[in-house]
Amino acid sequence: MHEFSLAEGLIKAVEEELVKNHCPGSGLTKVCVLVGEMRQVVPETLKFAYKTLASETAAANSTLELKFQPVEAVCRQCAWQGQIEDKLFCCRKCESADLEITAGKELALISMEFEDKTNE
Amino acid sequence: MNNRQIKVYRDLMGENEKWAAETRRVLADNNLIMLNLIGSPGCGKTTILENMVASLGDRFRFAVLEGDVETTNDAERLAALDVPVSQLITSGACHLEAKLVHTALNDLPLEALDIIFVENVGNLVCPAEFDVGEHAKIAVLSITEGEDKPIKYPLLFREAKAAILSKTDLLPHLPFDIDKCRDYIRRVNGNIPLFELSATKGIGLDEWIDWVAESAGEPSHQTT
Repeated sequence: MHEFSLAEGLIKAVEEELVKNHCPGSGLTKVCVLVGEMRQVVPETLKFAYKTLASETAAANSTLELKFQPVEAVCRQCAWQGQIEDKLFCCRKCESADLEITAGKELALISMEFEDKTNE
Repeated sequence: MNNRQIKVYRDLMGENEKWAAETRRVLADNNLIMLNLIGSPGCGKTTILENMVASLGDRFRFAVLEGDVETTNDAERLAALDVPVSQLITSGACHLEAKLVHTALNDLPLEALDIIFVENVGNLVCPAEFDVGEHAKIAVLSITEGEDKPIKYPLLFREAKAAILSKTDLLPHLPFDIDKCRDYIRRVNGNIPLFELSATKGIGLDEWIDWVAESAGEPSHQTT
């Protein structure tokens, strides 16, 4: 249930970006977040938390979209590189457990979408 | 109607990281290290800390930041042993965040300490996500929980710089496959030391204390 903490931080970030980009909040339709698969985020819970907490903010009418980043690693022993799908951090080539995680821990706001009212 | 998109890249853990960095600065100024104990409710975190007091002698001085959802029970147990302790009650939240931990540093006599233990809220999931400014996360697993927990909760064991397997005195009474458990920990995080101990019986506690003392003697041991 750390999704509410994450959603709180996300909404604060969205509000700051709106000010920084001189965008009126009312036109915000979608917010996209990149989630590394090592992050133990429950997608539906995060979306629910976002909707609940955004209701009285400039993000109120926007939906949250999540994009997932697979876990990737490099073996420090044999230089194998690839995706880790089963959360067992062993090299697929030499079976060494000496791996460096190169992707999969992300948690970042990556884009925001707005209604373009200039064409109406 | 067309939609307009703007690209940004903004780390959502940034605010937490800011407070964690601030805590690390205070720790460095006071030549302290912080170890963040993470494990299930009832895995023995408080008992390990309690029983360290008697075995420790004057090797290092430690305080505890005690995270709980409710009650001051654990803090009272440690205060009774003259361990400086500050109770952090999260009122429902399942983990400690960096800002709360940072604020609690004010409650501790930093100049009279070598180590601060954070006893996180009992939980194998959420606390693993949050950097509270510690030098190392320590995963605590008791053998009553079953040997497969390292692969069921891989993030914690992956983030940890050491792991404790507690309540080993109960091994003869439980169908716990310790070799399998060791192998699971190795497969999730091959490089970390594993301390197998029984705090109540005093078995294996010295090896853990040695490791902590060594970590405290090496402030450059920063790993996060």
